[in-house]
Amino acid sequence: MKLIMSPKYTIEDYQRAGTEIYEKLHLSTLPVGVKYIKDESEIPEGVRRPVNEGKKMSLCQCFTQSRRFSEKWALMAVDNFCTPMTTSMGWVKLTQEELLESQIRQGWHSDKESEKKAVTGSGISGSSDEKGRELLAKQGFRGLISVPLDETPIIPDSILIYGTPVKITYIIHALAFEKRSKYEVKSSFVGFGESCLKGTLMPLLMQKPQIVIPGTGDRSFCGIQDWEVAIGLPGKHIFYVLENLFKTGRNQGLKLPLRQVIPRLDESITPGFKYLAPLIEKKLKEEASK
Amino acid sequence: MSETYTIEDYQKAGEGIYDKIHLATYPVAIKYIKDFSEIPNEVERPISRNQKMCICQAFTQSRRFSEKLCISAADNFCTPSSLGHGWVNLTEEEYIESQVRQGWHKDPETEAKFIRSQYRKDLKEIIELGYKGVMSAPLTETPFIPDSVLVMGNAVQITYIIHALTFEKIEENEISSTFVGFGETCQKGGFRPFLTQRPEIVFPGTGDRSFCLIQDHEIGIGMTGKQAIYTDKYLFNTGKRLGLKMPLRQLMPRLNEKITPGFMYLRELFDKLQNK
Repeated sequence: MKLIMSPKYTIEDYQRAGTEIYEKLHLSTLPVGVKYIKDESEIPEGVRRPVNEGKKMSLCQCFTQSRRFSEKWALMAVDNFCTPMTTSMGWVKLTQEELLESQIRQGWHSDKESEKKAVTGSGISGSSDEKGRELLAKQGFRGLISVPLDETPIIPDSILIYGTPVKITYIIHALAFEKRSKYEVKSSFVGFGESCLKGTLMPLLMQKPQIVIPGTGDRSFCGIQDWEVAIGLPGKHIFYVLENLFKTGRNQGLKLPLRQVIPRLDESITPGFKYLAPLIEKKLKEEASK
Repeated sequence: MSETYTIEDYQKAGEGIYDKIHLATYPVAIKYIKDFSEIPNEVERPISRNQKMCICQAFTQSRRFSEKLCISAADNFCTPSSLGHGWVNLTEEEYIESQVRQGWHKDPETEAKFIRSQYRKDLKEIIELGYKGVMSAPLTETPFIPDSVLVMGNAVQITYIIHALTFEKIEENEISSTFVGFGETCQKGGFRPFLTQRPEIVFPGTGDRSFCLIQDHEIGIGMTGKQAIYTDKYLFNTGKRLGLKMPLRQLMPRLNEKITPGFMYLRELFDKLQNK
């Protein structure tokens, strides 16, 4: 399996797409462009490293800084305090047993056996399952770059978009407009590794979108709000989304503002309303006959 | 704010507020009428469609569906609000009786207190104003000069507006609201800002949440039409670069691997590998 990196779209195309989706969906935060790198030399000028500023960050914190503050960050193993993710991403070659040991020490699941299943057999992370691990090993990634899409200095491998569930539904509708398998949105959920693995790595490795319900790290470290969910897209999918946004159902589909049908009601709904109705009717008739 | 503004100025302010703070729904333009001849052609009445609607439903139809509607006592199934707006000449006792039958509060005494406090005027004075109905339209397409504007949004979007209104700390834009969980969008979002010329914070109440599909995260702010123009002008001026912006900037704590034992375990392994 080879990753497809078509040169069809320019950096400016992605920047415009970032602005367009932000504006059209009235998003609360900017879409995030993410690129996985194999070497430090791929980091463009103007992209910061936490270690250069005497601090450490996690991937999800970089995404927050990009989507809220328009900051551009590169994160490698030495920058990342979320060490299990450094390992899961394959940036440092440790054994499955060592990764497992770290998770046992965290105590996320009921017992060692459950942790083992979570680390090796979930099949959702893109790196933990066998197929994902093989694919990931071939890439040899050592870090990533996170930027606001509207100012991206790189062609993004993945794009992560946060919003209310209805904003994400607009995107799902656009992706599903032609029911093409390439754009199928199918995700599993375990409440861990959501924005980093599912939001950015899996869309790159599998070339399929992923729904993100922010997990433990996301919610503990990086100021994600209670109502926020997200979608991770392979970079080029953004153009397909924009092409099909709001086309679903033509006039009767979900629009911005969201149209919700309200029930038809009358005064019989409550006793106080009902009490006043004949009094009002009588008064109106009296006034009309004057 | 003594300037005179045109309908187009109000429409532009509607677009400005809607786009600048990425609202989920349009700001609502509200105008109170004394005579049905004031209703422009494109504004519909529910009874002409053989329907009844309440005021908060009309606001929802305007902010979500861009509909232009006029609600009067004959259109309005929420009969207590017809009375609360003074559209029908009934007595305060009859009003209180309707609320006692609803059973919202502890006893008739409490209902009476509630009604008298809600409007900051007594019912007789409100009836004497002589209004007969209210028009509602999306501000972006308003066909009339609005008396009031209601903006619904999440809490941070309403804070952007609060910051704009209080940017110059002028007294007429001072925001001071009381909350009782009733009559929020219709009274506090529309009628009271018109009567007092002061903005009001709206925490959607029982009718709002029961009848017109307001979402759990939504709150609102009611203001005069001119205050909407002021808001559009001063959005994001508060604190210059330091103030709240779109997107919202939130500071995150500085962390390192010491935060959990599993993180630390792997860091030590990385360091060992590096030192080999």
